[in-house]
Amino acid sequence: MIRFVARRFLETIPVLFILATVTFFMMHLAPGGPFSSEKRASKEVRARMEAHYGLDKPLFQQYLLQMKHLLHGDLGPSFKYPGQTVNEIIAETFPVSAELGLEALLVALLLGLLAGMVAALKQNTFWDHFSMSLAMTGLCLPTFVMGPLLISLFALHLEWCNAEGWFFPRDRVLPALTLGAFYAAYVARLARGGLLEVLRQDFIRTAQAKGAGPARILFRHALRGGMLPVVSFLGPAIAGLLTGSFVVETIFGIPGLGRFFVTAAFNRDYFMIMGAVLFYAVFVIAMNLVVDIVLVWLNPKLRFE
Amino acid sequence: MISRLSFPATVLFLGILLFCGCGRRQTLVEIANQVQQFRVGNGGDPSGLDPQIATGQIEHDIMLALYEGLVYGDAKDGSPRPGVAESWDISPDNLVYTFHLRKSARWSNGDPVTARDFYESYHRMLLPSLAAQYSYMLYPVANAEAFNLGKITNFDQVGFKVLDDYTLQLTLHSPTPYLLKMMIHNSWDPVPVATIKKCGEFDNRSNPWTRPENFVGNGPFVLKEWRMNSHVLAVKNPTYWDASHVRLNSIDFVPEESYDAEERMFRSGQLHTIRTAPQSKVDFYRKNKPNLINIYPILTTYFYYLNVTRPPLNDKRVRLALGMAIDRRAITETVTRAGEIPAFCFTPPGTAGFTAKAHLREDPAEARRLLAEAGYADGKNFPEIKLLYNTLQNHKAIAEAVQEMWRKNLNIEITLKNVEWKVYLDEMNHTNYDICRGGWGADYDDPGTFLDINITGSGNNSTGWSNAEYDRLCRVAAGTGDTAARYEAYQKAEEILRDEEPIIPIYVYTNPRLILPNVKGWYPNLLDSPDYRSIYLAPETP
Repeated sequence: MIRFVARRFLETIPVLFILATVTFFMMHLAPGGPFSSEKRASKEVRARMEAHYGLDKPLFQQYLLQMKHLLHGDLGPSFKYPGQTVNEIIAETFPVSAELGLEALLVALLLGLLAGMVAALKQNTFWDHFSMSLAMTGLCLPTFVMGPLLISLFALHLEWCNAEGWFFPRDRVLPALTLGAFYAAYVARLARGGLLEVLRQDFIRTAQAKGAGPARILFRHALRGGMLPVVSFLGPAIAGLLTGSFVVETIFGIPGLGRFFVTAAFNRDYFMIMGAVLFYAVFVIAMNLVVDIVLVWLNPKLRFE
Repeated sequence: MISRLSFPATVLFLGILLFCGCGRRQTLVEIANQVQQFRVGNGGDPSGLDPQIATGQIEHDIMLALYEGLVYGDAKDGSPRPGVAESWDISPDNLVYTFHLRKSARWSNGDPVTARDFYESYHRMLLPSLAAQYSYMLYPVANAEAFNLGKITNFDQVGFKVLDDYTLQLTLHSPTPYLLKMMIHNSWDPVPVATIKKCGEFDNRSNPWTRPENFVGNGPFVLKEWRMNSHVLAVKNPTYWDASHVRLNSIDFVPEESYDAEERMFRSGQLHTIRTAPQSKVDFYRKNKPNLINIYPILTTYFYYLNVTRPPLNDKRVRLALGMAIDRRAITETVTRAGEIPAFCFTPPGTAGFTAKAHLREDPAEARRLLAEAGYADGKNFPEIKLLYNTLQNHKAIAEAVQEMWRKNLNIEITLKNVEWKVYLDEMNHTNYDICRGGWGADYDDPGTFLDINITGSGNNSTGWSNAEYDRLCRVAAGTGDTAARYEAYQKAEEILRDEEPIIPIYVYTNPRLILPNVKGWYPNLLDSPDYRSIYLAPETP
């Protein structure tokens, strides 16, 4: 297993390198720069702002410089926030996104697994159709529709919680639901599929023949194998959930990292774009690694190789 | 044992549990009213709070609470009122301004605010290495521009002089009757030089002195908390010289970027006011909740730039024809619908008492005649041109309306080109377009802030238009202290603009602000700058 992890770790290095390189040249190719604005600064001022951030150097030299800084873990300054570095921004906003992500994940697993199990156990009954159509709705309803709908109902009409913000525990409920619903729907469908496949296998029939009750069959025998598709889905899903969602964070006014993925690109905030992309990449890679380890543990047919 | 019904029942139970204790409670605004906390939707996250670096309205609105210049803008009409300076003398030739600072003015750390502080602040503002975007606001002062551009390096040669601890003298290079109005702008605010030096390099844009733990200011409020994309909390500054008249205890600026989300916050009792109601809601508030909406004109014009360097728009007859064939009232009444004022000249009417006499005439028949004269009778052979705008619902709707008006009135086809903000700026800055949406807001209340952008070689001249007489008139206006003579020059400049039409004015913006009726002491003004000194919260009427 150590060799497996070590190899995966080494594989990561060229991936990140290529990613950083492509990101660098793509963002510098995009028209417009970080300091263009409707009211233009004079040429002299703009030149000096660019010099301050080293943007006056030839592109390739900038590239080498940035790579050097990246190697030292220095993501650089933010153009949008002159007083902050990208490292600081990520350090401040990631915990918020991660918290929301965890809560959404909880929602996703709780609702998704429940619905999936019900559907699998009661295949082709009302409960199956009901939970699967609910899951379908969850998949089809985009967050930017679901969010405002929930706000409308619970914050504006019932006045149970605030419409926006991230100050009180109750502020977590609606965003976690909105963000979690989509993933819950996915989890439900995957869990149902996975369970159905396992439930048809011989060892389940054997267990039934031995007189095991439905609960024992589900939790003791079927669940482990039935969860395989869910677990492989969870790797990238967790990375996506924890690093934040632009839409949900914007709708609910949440000070998370997710917004920066999009706004940094709009602002041509070069260092911020690079920082966000690399941070996300590292996270996805790490989560995939964890998932692979868990999959081997869940499925005796697999081996670390 | 898992019974038939327990799954759905569990889901339901959990759902109820989730909202347990979430019943109707006091809204944030209701709580805030009791402690005089003004909750403001700020329209976006401030990028910084250094008054010499930050440039946007979002930052400006917060900095109004945190700093005070020699003068500040009156709550009602925005005119200059004594701030740190309790009085000033102006020499008869209008070139020397002597400011007498009040001895009671203090920084939030207790230090007195002295003439030296202002001197060193202006030194920092003009240092080429700071690269302050608004440094040009100080250019009326003798040699300020030369110093800022690095042509001279001795700051003593610039027209700032400390006569004693509480007297500051400014010498201008030419009379500038609107100087005091310019000084309302935050680029003229003092900065705490000692604190800045303690936190890092004096001239480093990234100096962290404005973080709450380092922050020192001299305004009626002082920075307490600043969390990115979350909120900026300013509390009453006990060392402020006029603290006894400040009635709010704190201001919470909530940086919500989306107008829709902001409006939801307002509606659910989280905010006292938001600057701009979303377009789609303006009508609703006007009809159903007129006591919550306040629509007032601001000094910003919406217009189209015409690229005069390319055919067919290098022909002024074509430009005039395009300008005459737009029905502005139809746009403001059916498209934008927030009480905007149709604009027939570039400078918004009433800017510092100036209203241009030259008016663009809406006359489709005359427009057709001009177009025919230019060789495109009934729109025949008119080359394909594009109208460029940045992605935003309103710009698109207006562009479509204009496209239709030109089709109907002139029988010409134009193509709409919708691009992302930075691409739009890039094309505009490089005059790489045919027709381009533009907007211009005043930095201070004076026609010059509008008309100067069309001067040949001005950094903001995006049309490629150049007119020697126009340049001369703007120079004359800038160089005289006689308001009548200035305005006469500006009248002639507007006349040339109307005759040449490098810019098609469309409307003057209004701002539809949502504000609760219990917010007292707030007044609409042309620069949309609130004065937090005068604002207070009345108990809500049931």
